[in-house]
Amino acid sequence: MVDFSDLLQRSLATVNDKYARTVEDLRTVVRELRDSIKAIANNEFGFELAEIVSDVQGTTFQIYLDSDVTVPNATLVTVAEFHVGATGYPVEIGTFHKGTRRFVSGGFPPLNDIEQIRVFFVEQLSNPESPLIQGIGYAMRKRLNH
Amino acid sequence: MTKDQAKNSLAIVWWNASDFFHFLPSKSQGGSRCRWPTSRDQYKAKCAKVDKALGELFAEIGTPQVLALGEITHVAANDLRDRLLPEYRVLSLDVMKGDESLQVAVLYAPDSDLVNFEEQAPLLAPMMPGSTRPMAVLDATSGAHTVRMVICHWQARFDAVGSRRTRARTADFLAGECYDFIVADHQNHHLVIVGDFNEEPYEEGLLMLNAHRHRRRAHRKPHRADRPVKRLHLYNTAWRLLGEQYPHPVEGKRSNAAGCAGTYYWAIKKSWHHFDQILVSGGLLGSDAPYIDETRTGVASTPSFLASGLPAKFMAAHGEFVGLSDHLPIFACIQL
Repeated sequence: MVDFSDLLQRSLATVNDKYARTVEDLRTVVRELRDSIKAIANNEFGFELAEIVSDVQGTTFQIYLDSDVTVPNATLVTVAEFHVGATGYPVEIGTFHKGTRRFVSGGFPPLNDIEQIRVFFVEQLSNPESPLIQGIGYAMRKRLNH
Repeated sequence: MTKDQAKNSLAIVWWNASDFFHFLPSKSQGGSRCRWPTSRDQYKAKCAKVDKALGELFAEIGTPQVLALGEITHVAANDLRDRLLPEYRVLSLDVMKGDESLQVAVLYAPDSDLVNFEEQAPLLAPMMPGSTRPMAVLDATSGAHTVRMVICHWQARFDAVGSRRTRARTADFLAGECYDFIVADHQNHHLVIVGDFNEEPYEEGLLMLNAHRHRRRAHRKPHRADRPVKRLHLYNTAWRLLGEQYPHPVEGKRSNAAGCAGTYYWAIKKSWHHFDQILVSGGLLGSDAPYIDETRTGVASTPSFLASGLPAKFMAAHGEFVGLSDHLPIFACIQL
């Protein structure tokens, strides 16, 4: 007789392991970048990974720059939105539409491992028009003006 | 304009200054396709021409509280502020040290009893090509009212399809941002969107932004059917300014002026275009302040902007510097 319970538990464990590892990779890269970003502004800037919505197909995350962690209503600048499927990699890059509550991927190729996640952010840091650079520029100006 | 009018108004000028790089020795040897000044003298010559032209403009319409510029580096914007408007603050989106680029910049006046200015985070449409310029956002608050100014320089017309798609996506994104801002406080929130859209008022991008010629329609409150698609009707002041500036025959002192037939002259195509536009939300179309004074809205065609008869890019030719920018400034006035 087939042991459906055992099959199901093993399958779920695999799914969860891959998902958990992918999310942890994202968190690791965000943490690495956060340390560098905080260092340029006396720990006043924040850089966070936040969950927007989660369902059976996976989770959509937003990475944002907090322009001043000491001010509760400081501006948050969205840097990127990612979707991690229930089975982990690849990480899709795209936009979460608030109205329809749907994530639409596109614009960048999917990321297949932690090194590709790092490369994505390296490209963001070398592009003067990227949300990350513009967000940091905005936060720096706000800091100088106050 | 009377002194009282000037005192109670918010005057805004937009001008695509065209390749307004500062002088940087490391970028001065870039070859014939390089747009950076090849010498300090070349940069100084451009600055002198810009100062003269803006001086003429300010003499004609008054010094604006907000001077928004396209295609200018952070250093060039700071230099301009230091020379012409030393009390003003600078908001420049050219933020990357060592990789300076032409972005929008805003020179804006110190706060006064009437109006306070506050920079907001720039707007960046998601999933766009790397060369898509961010849009600057500056709020002017007067009493309970906030006039949000969005300063744009949309993707140039590099090709028929790619850049059009980028502009359309930018427009769609901006339309959503505009809607959210206005519905948050319909009575007190207002929008002025200025810039070089690289599209005519009747083209796709401006239509996706719901910007049109119909004041009464733009003046209506958003309808419930607008909510799912985040549709906010905007009035495009450019419609009243399309075509030749002066009717034929041009008489009086105007007869010596070339006048203009748009805001941008595309030299290669030998054609005028009206790519630089000012759009406003419906709350600025009433009779109570704040409102746009359309009699003080227009395209500037003072002599220095049309020294060659047509707006032309600044360049070295036969041992002298000619031209200034292939764009003309546009201006608007919000009565507060």
